[in-house]
Amino acid sequence: MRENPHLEDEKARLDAYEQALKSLRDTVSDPGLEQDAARMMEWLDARIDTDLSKHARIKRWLTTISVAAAVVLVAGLWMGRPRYKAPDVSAYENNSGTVKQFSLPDGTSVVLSEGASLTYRLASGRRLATLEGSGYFDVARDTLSPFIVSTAGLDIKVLGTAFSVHSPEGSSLTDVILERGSVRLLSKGGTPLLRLVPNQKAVYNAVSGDIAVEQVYARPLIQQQFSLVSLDNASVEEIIAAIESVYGIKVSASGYDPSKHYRINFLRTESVGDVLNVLELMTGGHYSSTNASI
Amino acid sequence: MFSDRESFNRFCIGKYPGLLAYARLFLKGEDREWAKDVVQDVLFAVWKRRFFLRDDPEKVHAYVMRSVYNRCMNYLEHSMVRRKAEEDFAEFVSLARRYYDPDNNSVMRALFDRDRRESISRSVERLPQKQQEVFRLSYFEEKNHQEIADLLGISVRTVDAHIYAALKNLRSALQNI
Repeated sequence: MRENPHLEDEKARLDAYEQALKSLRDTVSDPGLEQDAARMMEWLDARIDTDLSKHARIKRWLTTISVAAAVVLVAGLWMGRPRYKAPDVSAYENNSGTVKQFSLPDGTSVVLSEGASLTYRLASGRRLATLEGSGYFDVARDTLSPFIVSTAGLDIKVLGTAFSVHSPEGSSLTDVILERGSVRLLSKGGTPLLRLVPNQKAVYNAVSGDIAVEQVYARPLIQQQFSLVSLDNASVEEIIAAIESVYGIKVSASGYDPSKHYRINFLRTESVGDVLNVLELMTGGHYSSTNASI
Repeated sequence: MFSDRESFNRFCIGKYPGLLAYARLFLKGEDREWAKDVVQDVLFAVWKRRFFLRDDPEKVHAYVMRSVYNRCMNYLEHSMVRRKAEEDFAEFVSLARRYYDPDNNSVMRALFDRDRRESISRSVERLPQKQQEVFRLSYFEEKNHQEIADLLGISVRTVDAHIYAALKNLRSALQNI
C-alpha cells in the first residue's frame, strides 16, 4: 500500500514542528544557557568594539588618503592586468633563529617557533594547515570554513579559537594547549578523540593512542614559548641587540655602564617604548628608538 | 533600528535562546558546537545592518530567522561532499531545506519567537484533554512515544495520532497569532 504523498508531506511538516518544539525545550531548559548567553555577549561585544575601532580608523584613513588612492588606482589601471596570482598553497618556514609571526590569507595569525614550518590551503570549503614543529594559532572566525591543523600524529579541528601545538619532528607525542575558544582533536584516521576547553593541555601519543589531559594556565605557558624574551647576565649592548631584532628597529643609547650585566625579561607583545623605559630604570642610561627599520 | 548598544544587547539576549534552538535543528551531533557561532554571526550581521533594518519586531524576527536558516543550510551543504557516505545525511538536508524554512511558514517563525511563546502555552491549555495529556508528557516530561503508550495503557499508534492532532491544533492556533 503506497502512502498518499499529500499525507507524507503533512506528516513531515508536523514532524518538523515536533523537532522544533523539542529543540526549543532542550535549549531553554539547559542550565548552562544563561552562562552561554553571557559568554556569547562578551565575544559579540568584543567583536563589535573591534569593528567600530576599525571603522573609525578606516574613516580617518579614507579622508586623508583618498586622493592618493585615486592616483594609485588610475596608475594601477594603466599598468594593466595583475600578473601575480596567489598560489593555492601558502608555505611558511621559520629559520630566523627565534619565534616569528605570520599572517595567513584568511587573517589567522600564526607564531612559529624556530625551525617550524607550515603549509596552508583551502580545500572544499575547509582551511587546512599542516604543521611541523611548534606553533601558536589565533584563528580567524569563519563558521562556514572549519580550520584544521594536521600534525604527524594528530588532527585538530578548530572551533574559533587560540591555541598552541607542539609536535617535535621524529616524536610520536603531540601536545596541544588551548588558550580560549574550543578545539576538537581527531586521530589521523578522522576519529574524534576529545574536545578541549580553555586552559587544558592534551598530550597525545600517536603510537599507543594514549591521551592525557591536564589543567594548565595556558596564557603564561604560551607566552613563555612564543612571546617571552629572556636575557640573563647580559650587557647593555646585548640587550639592545635583542630589542632591535625583536622589534625591527634601531636603538640609540648613551650614558650606560658597558661593564655591567643585567637580567631582563619582556614580552614581544609589549610596546618598544615600555621596554626601553624599563631599560632606562635598570641601567640609568638614555635610549631612544630611531625608526630606521632593518 | 537600535539607537544604542544597550538596546541591541537586550535584543540579543532576548533572541539568543530561540535562535540557538532553531540553529540546533540543523546542526546536531558533531556540528552542534557551530550553532552558537552561527547565532553570534547572525547577531553581528544585524548590528552591522542596524541602519537598514525597519523598526518592526515582526520583520526583524523574520530576518534573523532567515539568516540563521541560510547560514545553517549553507553549512550543511558545504559538509555534503565530505559526508556523502553518511546514511540519511542528504535526506536530512533536503528535509531541513523544505520543512525548516522560516519564510512562508509562520508557525516556524512563531515557535522561536520569545514574544509569542506565551501564546504557545495558552494554546496548549486549550487542547482537548487527552491530546493535552499526551502532548505534555511528550514535550514537557521528555518521554518518548513508547513510554507514553506504556504509561497510559494505549498503543503507540494512538500516541502518534494524539501528538499529531495536538500539533495540528497548535499549528492552526499559532498561524493566527
